[in-house]
Parts: sequence; C-alpha cells; structure tokens
Amino acid sequence: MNMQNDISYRSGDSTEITYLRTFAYRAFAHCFIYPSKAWISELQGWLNTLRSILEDFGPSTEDMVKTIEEIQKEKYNLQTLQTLQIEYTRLFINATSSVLAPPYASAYSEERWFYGPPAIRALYTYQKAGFALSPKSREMPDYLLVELEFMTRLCKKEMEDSKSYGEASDICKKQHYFLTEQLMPWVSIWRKYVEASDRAGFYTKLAMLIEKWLKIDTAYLTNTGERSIA
Amino acid sequence: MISRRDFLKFSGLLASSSILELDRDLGFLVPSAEAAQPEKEEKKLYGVCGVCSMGCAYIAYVQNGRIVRLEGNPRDQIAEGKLCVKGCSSLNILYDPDRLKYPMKRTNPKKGIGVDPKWVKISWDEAIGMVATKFKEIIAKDGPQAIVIFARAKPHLKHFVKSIGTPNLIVHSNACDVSHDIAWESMVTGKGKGRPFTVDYENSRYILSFGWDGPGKSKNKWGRAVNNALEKGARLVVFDPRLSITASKAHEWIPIKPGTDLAVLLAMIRTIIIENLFDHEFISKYTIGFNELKGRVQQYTPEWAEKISDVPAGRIVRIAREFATTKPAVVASHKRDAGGPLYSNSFRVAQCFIIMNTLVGSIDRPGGRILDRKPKLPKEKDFVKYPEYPKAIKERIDGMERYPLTKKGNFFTVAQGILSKKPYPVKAALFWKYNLPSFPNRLRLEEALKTLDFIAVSDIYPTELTELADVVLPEGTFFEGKGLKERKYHAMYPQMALVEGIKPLYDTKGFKKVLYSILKKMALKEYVPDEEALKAFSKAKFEALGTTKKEIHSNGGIWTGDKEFKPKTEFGTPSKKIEFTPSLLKEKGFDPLPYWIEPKVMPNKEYPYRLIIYRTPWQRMMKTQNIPVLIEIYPENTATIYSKEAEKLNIKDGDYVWVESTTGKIKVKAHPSEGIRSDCVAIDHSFGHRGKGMSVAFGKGSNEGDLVPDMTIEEMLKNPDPSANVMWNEVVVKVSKA
Repeated sequence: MNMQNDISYRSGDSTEITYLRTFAYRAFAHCFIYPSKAWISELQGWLNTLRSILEDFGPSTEDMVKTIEEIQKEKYNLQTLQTLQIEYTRLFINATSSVLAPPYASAYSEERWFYGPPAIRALYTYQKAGFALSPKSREMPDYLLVELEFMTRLCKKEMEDSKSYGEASDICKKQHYFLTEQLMPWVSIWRKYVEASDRAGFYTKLAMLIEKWLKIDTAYLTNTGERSIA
Repeated sequence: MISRRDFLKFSGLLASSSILELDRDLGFLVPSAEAAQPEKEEKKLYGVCGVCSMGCAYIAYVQNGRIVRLEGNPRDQIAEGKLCVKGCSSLNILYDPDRLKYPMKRTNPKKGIGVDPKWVKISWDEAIGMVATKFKEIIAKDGPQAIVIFARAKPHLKHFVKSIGTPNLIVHSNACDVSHDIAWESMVTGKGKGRPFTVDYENSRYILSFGWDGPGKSKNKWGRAVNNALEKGARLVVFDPRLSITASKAHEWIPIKPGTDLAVLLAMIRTIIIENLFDHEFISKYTIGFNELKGRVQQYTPEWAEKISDVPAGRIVRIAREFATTKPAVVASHKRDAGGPLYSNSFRVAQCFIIMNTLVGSIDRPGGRILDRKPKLPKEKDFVKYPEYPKAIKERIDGMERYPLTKKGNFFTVAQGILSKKPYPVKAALFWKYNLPSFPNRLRLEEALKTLDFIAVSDIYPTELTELADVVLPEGTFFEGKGLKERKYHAMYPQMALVEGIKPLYDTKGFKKVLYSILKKMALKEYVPDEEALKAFSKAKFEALGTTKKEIHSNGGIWTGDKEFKPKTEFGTPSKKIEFTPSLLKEKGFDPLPYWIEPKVMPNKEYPYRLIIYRTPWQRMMKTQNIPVLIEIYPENTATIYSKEAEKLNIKDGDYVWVESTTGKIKVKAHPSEGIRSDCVAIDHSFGHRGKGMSVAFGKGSNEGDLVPDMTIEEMLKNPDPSANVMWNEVVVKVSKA
C-alpha cells in the first residue's frame, strides 16, 4: 500500500476495532512499565485483555495467545517481583555491563548516543498529530513507552474523529507511517537484544509479543487501507 | 478479523475490569497546546564546561530540545571562543546510553568488582530514606565519625559533614594541589586563601617550567596564551624528565633527574641573589625575610646542584640569569608540576616557584603570576542561618588532624585507616564522583570498603565503585545545571558566566539537593537552607553585579567587571607582604625557608626506572573515557621508555610490557622514545577501568595508580612536608616484555 496516496479509510466495524487496538497498545505499555506491587496486581488484568483481543484475530495470533497463557501460568507475584525488577533494571536501565537492551530507538541507529535522529523524527511526528512531550516527563521522545502511548493516542483520536471519513483516514495514515517508519524498524532489533540477555524469560516473551503485535497491526492497517481503495 | 459480535464480547470484558479505564495513559504525551513544541530554529543556551576545572564558558545550540553543538564563548576570558577536544566531545556524556538514569539499590549482599549487584530501580524517596536511616543508625550506635564522606570540598559538602558531625571529609587535594596551596597561603595569599590560578603567559617574555605541562593537558587558555607569547618572541624553557607537549614547543628542554628540581631552583635563587639580578624595588617594598633567604641559599651552589640533578652548573647559571634579566618572566605552575603532589620535596619546590617569581617582581604584575580578580559577591552565610554544628571529634580516619596546615583529607592514608579500625571503626561511606582508580593502590581501598556496612555512591556513570554501592544516586551532567559561575582559572578581571541548563534527563538529581534531602530525612531540617533565603541570596548576587539573568543572557552569557589592572601593593599575609620566611610556617614549627630534601626513592638494581605519571590532552582524570571519539583518537595508555633501554629489553613499539613496582603490576603498551630519560618510565593517567558499566572505557589500558603505594599516616609523617602531599612519583619500577 502506498501511504502517500490519499486513501479514503473506512470499514464496517472499524470504530470498534480501533477501540480494541487502543486497548492493545495501552495493555502492552502497561505490561512494560517498571514492575511494582501495583503492577503485579494489575498484570493479570492487562494480560487477560490482550488475550481476549488477540484470540479473535484468527490463526495469525494463535502463538501470541499461547505465549500470553504461558506468561499467565508463571503466576508472577510478590515473591517473584524482585526477579523481574532486577531483570528490568539490567536490560533497560543500567547494568554492570552496558545497558543490555535500551528501549530507545536511537540506541539502534548509527550514532551510539541517545536523543539521536529517531528521537527528533518522533518529536515531529507527535507535533504533526497534535501532541507534545509532557513538560513533567523527563523521558526521551523515542522511548518505547512514549511511542506506544502515541499509538494509543492516535487510535483514540481516530475514534473521536470517526464521524469524519477524511480525518479518520488521515489519522490511520499517521498510524501506519509511525509503525512502519518509526516503531517497527527498531523494535525488531531491540527484541533480539532482549532475547539474547533476558534471564527471567518474561521480557523475552513480552518483547516478542510487542514485535508481533506491531506486525499484525501494520498488516491490518495496510489491508484496511487497500480494501477501502478497492 | 474482529466482528461486531466479538467487539460486544470485548466490551463486556473491558467494562467488567476496573483497571481498564479508557484514559489510563502513561502521561508521557499531552495535547500540543499544553507543552512546548520542537523548534527547528537553533536556540542559544549559555553554560560552563564541567570536564575540567578550567571551566571554559560555552554556547550550546539547542534544536528540538537537544543540544546539537557547542562552541567556546568568545566573551569569556578563559574560553575566548574556543573549547578543547574534551570539551567539544563532552556532549557524548549527556547523551551516553551508559549514564546512570534512576536511583538504584543492590539486592545482592555479596560485594566485589565483577559481582553483579543485582540492581533494582527505586524512587528517590526510598534512596534518600535508605541513606538517612543508615546514617542515623550508625550515628546512634557508633558515632558520626563512623561515616566517611568522599567528595570535593564544596561549601555544601563541608556544611553536610559538619551538620552530621563527622570529621571525615576525604578530598583529593593532597593528591592534587595542596603543596601549592599551602606555599601560597603561607607566603602570599594568607591562611585558607589557597593559590591564585591566573598567569599572564600572554605578556610574559620568559616562561620557565619545572614539569608544568598545561598546554599538554589541553588547558585551553594556557595552551593558547603560551603559543601567543612564543609568537611574540617569548622564550620557553622546560625542565622535565619527559619530553612533554610543552617541552616539545620549548626553546630548551632539559631532561632533569626526577625529584631534583629543588636543587636546581635553590641554585638559581642563589645565582639571582648573589649576582644582584633581583628586582630591588619589588623586594624592598613588598617582601620580608630576604636576608634570611639570602643566608639560606648560600650553600646551594650550581656545582652542588649539578651533581644532584644532572643539569650542568653553567646551564643553571645561564638560565637563572636569563630569567632574572628578561622582563617580565614567570615560573609556570598549576598543580601536577614538580611543586605539585609528586615528590618528597615538592612543597619546597612550590615555595621556590614563588620565590623565583618574587625575585623578578612578577607577583601580580603584567606577564607574571596574577592574584585572581573576582567580583565582590554576597556570601550565603549572610542569608542562610544555621544553628551551631554538633561538635565533631578531632581524630580523623586518615590521621590528617596531625597536619596543622591542611585538613582536607588524604587519599593515600584513608584505606589503611579504615582497615586498622584506628582510631575508631568506620561503618559507612558516601562517595560523590570519585572512582576507585582515582586512588593509589585501589585494591587496598576496595578491601577497606568491603568491610563497611553501607556505601552510597553519587555519579553520572556506573563506575566500578558503583558495583560496591548499596545505593546508587544518579547525578546530572553540567549541561543540566543552572547558576552563575565565577571565572577563576584565568581571572585578569572579574567575570561571571551564566549557566542555563537544559531540562534534566531521566530521574537524576544534583548532589547538593540530594544532601539537603538526606539532612531532612535525618530530622536535621535546621541545617537545610530555607528556599526563600536561597532565593534572596541569588537575587542579591545579581544586585551586587548590577544586572539580571536576562541581561547577562542578552550580553552573550557573560558579565564583565572593571577591566583596568591595578597591581596589588598589599598581600594576604599577617605582614601584608610576601613572606620569604612565612610566620604561618614558623608558628606551626616548620622551617620557614626552603632547603634541600632528597627524593624518597631512587631507581636501583631491582627497580631501575622511576615512574613518571602524566596527563594527555585527550582525557580528563577518570571522567571522559566513555567518550568514543576520544578513545578513537587515543585508545589506550602507554609506557614511554627510552629507546635504548627498550632495545636492551627487546621491546618494540606497541609490544605489551609488564610494569611492576613493590605495590603492583600492570600490563601496558610500550612506546620506546628518545623523549624521556633512560632512568624513567612514563605512563599516562586515565585508563584501566574495571567496571563494565562504562562500556567504552572498560578494558582500555591500565591504571598506573595500581603501582603507587598507599601509606599509613605514620609513614606519611616521616616526610617533612607541611602540606602532606602524597608523592605520586616516588615509585620505582621494573619493566619486562609481557
């Protein structure tokens, strides 16, 4: 699909589906925040949400559903919380070796340092969509959680603007562009780094789920766009 | 594909879940109207480089919230529009992926370098709480002296230490500049005033260096000033066992025997006095003790000095004459030169530097050593009042209470103090931006630290020391701070630089704020300054300068005072004169005049080379090794050895060699050279990080400090040095092919 074309985007249940996609992005983001007691108490709820959304996507999501079930069987609780905290810290914040799988797009670009071109690109994408980094946040624009939140915000905006075909279509294009040009390119590499270093297993599974979800959502947006052209 | 039926099913599921409200976003983004947007236009922010203490003022160009480039501020008398290689590349520190990002605590009780501390991220509240609780427990059980603070002696650090009641603030100064400070305080500036930093190289006609290599450390202003002086026809003469960068630019390089500069200086002073070449007017008007000095140096003939230093007597005399008759002339010095913390006799060398400059009338005169011109600013104590501090016991863990003139702490004796548990056991340490390789014989300090119950470390990077920490407190970089900084390293006239930081990244905090938070949590609120008082203090500073922040910004980030140079006619000593026989030294029972002291060690059959430690232009202490471009320029340190010695040992350029002292053994790349004496091996500092957390720095080169012995305070007291300098170069080594 050529996203540069002016595609009129609309399908039968798209508002409802977008509603669910909003939840999927939000659920992935909440699963990825730093593990705490509150997080543990909510984890099963977010995983249930994800499982329910994915179950009906057909055969393409069967392995994802299976992975979620595997995570749920692990029964992460207060006893295992510290294991996850240690793993999160060494993979994504600081380790006694270099931070192993930094969740920032710039970390996977040519420059070694953070706040590189991918962060600037993300900033402009947020600006074009009517958003900005919160003055309260100290995180960089290309942090995984910021990018997932952006997708949530775009999905919500799509729902809010669903009465206007033109505006909804434009937002869908923005989503597709952000997924293909910003998120997907680095999340696939990041997932490999997580897989190579994760000792607890949880983050390998979560990174794999996030990567697969981004692929599925990209395909969904592509198909929907093509259908609407037809 | 999802159908309406499915959607209804999900709607039921979502509605039943209390946690899944539609608006539970994480809050990283807001609608555009609520926040600043990225800007393609470059915006200027002013600041001061924090890589080295020179503190060149810079202009940072910010685009889209990111600093994209730096340049020296042309209005700053230090930077003059230029930055050195380290300053230019320091943006890497700000955006380094390895930076410490959040407070963390260890969950693995087993401690050691290379042992995973199993860090977990914690809140600042928890981190501060851990430090405060532990300190309170220790104070109640063992007394405040059981807490040792390792940090630079900034005013807020001294205040913190006094507030909790420990005598133990361990500062690096006696491994750095203490001999110069005490020499200047006793002879010129007065007690507690330290040394001036400014030298008017630019207008000097004769620059004489004894191991001073400011340009070789890429000290921005000094390198430029010396080059300018040379272009204008000044003569540069360098005594140094190693062909330093400054020596390579000199008219004369004299490879003096290390540790014997004092002999040459005493003979030069004698020559200048005996041959009546000194500035009579300056000596009679502004000095006391000249006759005693004259009497003292009679014994130090150039022939005597030749035997000690390997410098021919004729050359000593000729250079002394040139120095005294070419006006203005200056002896260059700063920190780690022959008058710095290198040899048993360095304090007396520092005294001789001042004497030489005084004899030729170069103290606070154009082309000479200038007493820094600083703006008159209000003091914090006039705005912030604290109750009386608790009385701390006198005995320090490093034994420094036995030195009457310097109590700043001792990097060389602290480890043995902790291990011996004398005069008391130590239970906790709080470090601010010091790392293990900054100390001599770091293995001993590591061993000592492992005996403690609790260690907290504040730093920018996960250094090897953080691997021993119970709590890690992430600090911001100098790009993230705000304020107003005095121009100190070159202050021909009063000048202040504005510091406008970018929004701090991650969850980092300045150490001053951290210390105040710890005091609050320890229920010592009375020692935490009132916010309003601090605001009034800040306002008063601008009022004293007669300006505002906005005005300084619009004037290019710099405030400049009166530029007219009025030479001083009074000095800070009790006599208001330059004291050749300082009352401060006499009162404390020290010989007031310089005299010859043998170096502590000499190369011998088993250890035939003296270790010379130096700095390169590419690195600053242990701070800049994670900057990739600097490592690319110069990937690891080397052992420079005289080519013929290398040939004897079958060592070629680039071969790895073992350098071994009685303390330790390191593997380092050899660099045979004609530019060093045959009885020396020179190794540059800044390498040998063991912490993998600094991923660029790790595994590069070796730490020469591992060859340097630490000491007990009794061992240190055997050296008759009132400044307690640590004698980094009093080490002999042997070399073998690895």
